[in-house]
Amino acid sequence: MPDRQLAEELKARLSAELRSGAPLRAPLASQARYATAAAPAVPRRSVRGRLLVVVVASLAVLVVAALAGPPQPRAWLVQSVGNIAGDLGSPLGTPSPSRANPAPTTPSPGEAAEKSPSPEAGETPEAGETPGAQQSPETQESPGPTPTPETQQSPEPTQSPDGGGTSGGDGDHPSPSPSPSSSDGGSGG
Amino acid sequence: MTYKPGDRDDFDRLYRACYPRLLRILFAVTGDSASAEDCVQEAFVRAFAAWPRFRPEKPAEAWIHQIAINTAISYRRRARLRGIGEVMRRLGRPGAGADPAETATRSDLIEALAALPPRVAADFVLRYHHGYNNREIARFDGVSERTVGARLAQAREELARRLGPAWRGEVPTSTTHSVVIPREPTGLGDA
Repeated sequence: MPDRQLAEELKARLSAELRSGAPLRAPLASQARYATAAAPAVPRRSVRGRLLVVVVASLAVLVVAALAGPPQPRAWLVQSVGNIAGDLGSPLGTPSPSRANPAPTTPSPGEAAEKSPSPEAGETPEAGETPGAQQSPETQESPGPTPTPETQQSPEPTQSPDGGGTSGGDGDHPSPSPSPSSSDGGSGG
Repeated sequence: MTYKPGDRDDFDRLYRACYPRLLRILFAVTGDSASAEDCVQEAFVRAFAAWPRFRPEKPAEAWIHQIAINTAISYRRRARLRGIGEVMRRLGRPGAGADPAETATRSDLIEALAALPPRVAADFVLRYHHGYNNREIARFDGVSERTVGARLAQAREELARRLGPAWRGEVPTSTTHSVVIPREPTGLGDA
C-alpha cells in the first residue's frame, strides 16, 4: 500500500484538536509526579527487608514451637525406657538383652530374673556356675587366705576350730579349714 | 542528545523534551486529557524507577515512548474491564448512557483515534502531527518500516470509514508524476 499524505487542512485540524484537547499542564520537571516520588531503590530495599523480617520471624516461631511445645513423643520414649530399666533393676547405661527386643513391653518378674545375668553368663550358659564365682576368680586361686562368701556366711570354722569333732559325722570328711591355725593343726596331727 | 543513566538532571531533561509529545500521543490513544496526563506521569514514574538500568545504546526517547505506550495499553485494558463490570452491575436496570459532558467535549476525530489500536493511533499522531517519517517511527517502536506503513494505512482506512474519504489521504506529489495516469472520460460520472 503506498504511503499517502494527508491534506494540509486535515493535519491542521488534527493538530488543533490535539493541542486544545490536551493542554500542557505540567511541562516542568519540578511539576512531574516522579519528582515527588521516592528514590527508585528505596522501595525495593524496604520490600526485601520486610520479606527478611517475615522469614526470620517464621523461623523463630517454628524453633520455639519445636522446643517449647508439648513433648509427648519424647515423654513416651523416656517413660518406656525408664520402665524397662526399672524392671531390670539396672541403670540406664548398662546394656541389657531387652534392647534387642523392639517391643516396649514390660517383662514379667520371671523373665527379668532369667535375663538378669550378665552378657558373659549368657555367652556360656553351659557352665552352670554362679555369677559370683565367675566374677571373683581370685577366690578359686587362693582359697586359704581369702574367705569365700560361703565361708563368711558359715561361722563354725572360724569361731570354734575344735568344733569339727563336735559336729558328729563330719569327722570322716574334714572340711578345709579357712584359718591357717586349723590347717596347721590338721597337718601336725 | 545523550543521556547518562541514573543522572537526575538528564532525566529532567528527558522529561522536558518528551512530555509534550507523549501527552498528545496518549491523548489520541486514551481519548481523554486527564487520563492521558495520568498515563504520562505514570510512565515517567516507571521510567524514573528504571532509569539507573537504562542502556544508552538505545535512544532514550524511544525508550520512554515504549514505556508510555505500554502504560496507555494497560490503562485501556483496565478501563475496558471497568466497563464490563459496570455493565454487569447495571444488568437488568435502565442504562445511564455516556456522560453528556464527556461526549460534548470529545470531538469525533479524537473518538475515532481512541477507537484505533493504541500503537496504530500513536504512529498516526507521530506521523501526521509531529512530522516524523516512517524510519524514525520504526526506530521509536522497534519495528520495521513496513510495519509502520501498514499501521498508518490501517489508521487512514478506519478514519476514512468513520469521518469521510478525505482521511484516506492522497498519494504524495513527488511520486504522482510517475504513477498517475490521466483517466479517460467514461461518459458516466464525468459528464
